[in-house]
Amino acid sequence: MRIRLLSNIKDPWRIFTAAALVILIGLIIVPQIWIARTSVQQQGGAFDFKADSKAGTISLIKETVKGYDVETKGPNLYYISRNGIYYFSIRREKSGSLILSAGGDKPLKASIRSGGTVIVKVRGSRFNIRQKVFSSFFSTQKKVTPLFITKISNNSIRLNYSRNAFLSFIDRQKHYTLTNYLVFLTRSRYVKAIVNSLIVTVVSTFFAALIGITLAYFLSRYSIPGTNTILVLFTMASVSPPFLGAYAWRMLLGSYGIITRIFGLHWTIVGIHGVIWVIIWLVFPIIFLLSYDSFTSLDSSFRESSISLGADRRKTLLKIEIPLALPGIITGLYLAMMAAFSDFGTPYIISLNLNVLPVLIYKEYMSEVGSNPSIASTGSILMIFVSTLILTGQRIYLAGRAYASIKTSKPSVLKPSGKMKTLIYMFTITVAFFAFLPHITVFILSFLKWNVGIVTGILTMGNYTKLFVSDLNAIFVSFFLGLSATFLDFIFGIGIAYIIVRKRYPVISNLLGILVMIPYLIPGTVLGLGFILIFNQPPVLLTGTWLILVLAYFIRKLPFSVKSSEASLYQIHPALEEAAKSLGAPPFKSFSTVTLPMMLGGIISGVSLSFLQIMTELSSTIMLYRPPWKPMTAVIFENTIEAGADFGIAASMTVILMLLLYLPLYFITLNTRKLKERRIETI
Amino acid sequence: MKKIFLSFVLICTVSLTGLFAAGQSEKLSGSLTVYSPHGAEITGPIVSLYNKKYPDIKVELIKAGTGELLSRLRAEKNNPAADVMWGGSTILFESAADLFAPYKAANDKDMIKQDPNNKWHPFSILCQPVLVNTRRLKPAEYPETIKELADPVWKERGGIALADPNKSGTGFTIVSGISNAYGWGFVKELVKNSKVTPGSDAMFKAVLDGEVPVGFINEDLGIKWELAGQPVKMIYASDVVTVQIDAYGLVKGAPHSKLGKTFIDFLGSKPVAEIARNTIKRRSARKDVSPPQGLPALGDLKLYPESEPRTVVTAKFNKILKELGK
Repeated sequence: MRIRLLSNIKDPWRIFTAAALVILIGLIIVPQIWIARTSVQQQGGAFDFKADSKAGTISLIKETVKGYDVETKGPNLYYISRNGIYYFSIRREKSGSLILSAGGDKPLKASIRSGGTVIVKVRGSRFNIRQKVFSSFFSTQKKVTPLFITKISNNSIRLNYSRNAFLSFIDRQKHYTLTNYLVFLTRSRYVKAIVNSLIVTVVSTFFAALIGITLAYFLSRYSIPGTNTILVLFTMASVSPPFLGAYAWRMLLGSYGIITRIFGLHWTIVGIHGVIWVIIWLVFPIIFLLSYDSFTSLDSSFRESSISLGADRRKTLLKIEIPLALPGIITGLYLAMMAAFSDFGTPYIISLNLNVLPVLIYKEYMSEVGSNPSIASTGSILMIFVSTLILTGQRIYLAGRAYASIKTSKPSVLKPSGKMKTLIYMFTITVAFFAFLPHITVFILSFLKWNVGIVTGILTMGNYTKLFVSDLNAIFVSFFLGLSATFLDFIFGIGIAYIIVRKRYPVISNLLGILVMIPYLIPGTVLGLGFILIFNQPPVLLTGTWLILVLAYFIRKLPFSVKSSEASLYQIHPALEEAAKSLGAPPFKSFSTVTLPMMLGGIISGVSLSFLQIMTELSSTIMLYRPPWKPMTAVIFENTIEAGADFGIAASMTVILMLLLYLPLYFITLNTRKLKERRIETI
Repeated sequence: MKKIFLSFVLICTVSLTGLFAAGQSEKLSGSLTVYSPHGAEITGPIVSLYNKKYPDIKVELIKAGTGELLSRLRAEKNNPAADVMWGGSTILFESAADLFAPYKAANDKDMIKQDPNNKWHPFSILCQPVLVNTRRLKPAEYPETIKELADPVWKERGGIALADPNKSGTGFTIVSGISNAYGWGFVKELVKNSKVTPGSDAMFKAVLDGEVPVGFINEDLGIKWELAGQPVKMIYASDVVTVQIDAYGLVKGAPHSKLGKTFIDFLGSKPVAEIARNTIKRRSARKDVSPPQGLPALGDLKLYPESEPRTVVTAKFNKILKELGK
């Protein structure tokens, strides 16, 4: 026993695995389990009656009947039953009074609560009965006769109500059922949302892949001056200005958008085509960055052999280079697909009424007039299910291929012809133009005066001065939270990726892989709700602190660093580390001195992505922030929530946020990419 | 790491000094948390006026959309962080009545309407006139009545933007008011011509940007857009104008309910109503405050407020959506 324990301690990876598992379960499963629970719950049921004061009658409002069967047995007589079991009858005695009596000799108990709600218990069901009386707008509300009950017998009561009231019967008790799933998968509204989501995801990822992979290939194969700058540029492009980014497209290409009007076009970006278009430019940088890292870490000798064995360039590309770079490409595709699949902002802003899963789910959770958590949770669980399928596909595909290289020769590049160079530059510039259009728009907007949510043509610095007066503190908060969370992502990202790719512990490695992705798929606001539900009371009281934000950011953006570390690990052959081990290096040392340095390019991409994503994370922030811990995104958001808000402040805060992100990013990328000096090929 | 630590220390110091500064007076003092969907242009002046009266009470505002704030309140129910919810239609306060505490506010008697349960307190009154995009329509085509909007010609012209009453308080008010006037058969005809947006902002912006020729608007925003020279025009239909009340309320179990009550009493006062009228063109719910310039008097309008409970309206509306396959 002691020896086993000792050997466990000797392998720090096991301890790390256990720690990671505990942390992820504590931060992901525990707070979010309510989603799974809610998805299989349904409220008992409800039905409403309308009383007619003149005729003195009551009539059932058929549309409101849920969960129970309400049978009209005659004028003013209704039988309530469910699954063939008869609960009670409602009979009008006279205007303003009803008799409720239970069937058989079942008891019917009633009580009245201070708010005027009557509670009726019968056969294990519990109904809340409320009345509502409407009056015309100007008339002062007359005194309404409150609900009143008198006991008639053990199984019947008299209920007095106001003669012109709506009477609602609600059974709030939760039942466990799978009907929510049935409804979600059969009702046309929800099915449409699933179909639309899949169309948006597949089509936009396809085009994003075309752009991203092509660009990555050419930039990695040819020595192009300025490649590092281009890399930094596209890392930057992976973050769109929160909120304003998507709206910028509408300002440019909407029915009366700026570009639409200049060219006198008759089109609008509003619609599913526009959603796809905007998402393409949002997700292609992820594919580009990961494919680029893959292409550059290819062992050039494979290619050289291919060519010297007589294959032409095209064949070499298709048979050797792309397959070898696949781990990165597939991971990029996967991350891009997930980003497209879970994007809420773009369809919400770029379409008027396009029904896609993230919007549907979000609005069902966050409705201001009464949410429907059951359906929303069902949708969330289905999204997690779909993405787990895709993830499993990706995992099986990658694990089945040992495309890793054993040696670490420096990558090689071709010298491009002049024509080729021009072509590559043209392509890069075009892509960069579209990728940065929203950023440029926001930049310009930040220097214009805004009035009631509308931009004017007047140049001003006022947005910035206003900002510096009121919200400078937010910058410090953002950086503190962002750096802390990124640090956690960095450590856990590498570690978890290593466990998934190398250690391949049965079950546990897969479990970690799936766990990591869950926070990415749940809308951030919903994730925030889960955090509040768990951390708003002792023993772990975290709400209102900075820590809860750091933890939320950490788990929400963990996929970026895990996935990119995974991609680079797949390309490094385990034999290298085995060699170190066989020479006597302990497991951690062999990892940190051999594997880690080789992963660096991928890790930097991943950590930069995490950092950018964390700093621009908005949705979980709204749920969890409390002053003084108010990050920049919260400032941006509060200046965009109303249609008439001062977008100028939001725009200028966005510009500052982007600048503050880009400067460090620029230096980090330049310094780390330099490691990969490349020799020019002569073939 | 050093950087993180340094900024952490910095932020701690800043926030601690703030706390100490707030805790020194013996009068009503402390801090108060207010959830609000209102923009800074209105919360700014009103909070600073409050601070003139109560210099030792620090107001911490947390802003988000009404729906988000409501979910946050619900999730925090067992240990609330908020004291006051400032903003949201009366429908919100009634459908989530379990989250709010009754309070007899000093100014309730001066208001046009009162909540019989004393949970909400009216802040302002909002009508929802029709909004047309003047680029998309010729003046001759402008609708004059709500009744006209059921004409299939509106579908050909590009549709009507209508906020989903399941998701938006404004959408609820519009649908409920129109069904009050013309019945649910008419609502179905209207929905046939409509693009049902998942929120009210999406509806407003769709008309502003000319994505649809016509929709509905909250009049305070509509008048501001008109004054700013935007290509939109508000039309108070001669047959039906819907109306809602924007309210505020005390959160149940509020950690600083004593301070919260002072804020609620303050929000109902005349100076606040005047700020709201002058800066954001809101009609006050107070009987003694005149409407903003440029808006018609309520007495001249055919007002149709909500007339059925939320559950009834959404159930009937969803049935229509289902029948139309929307």
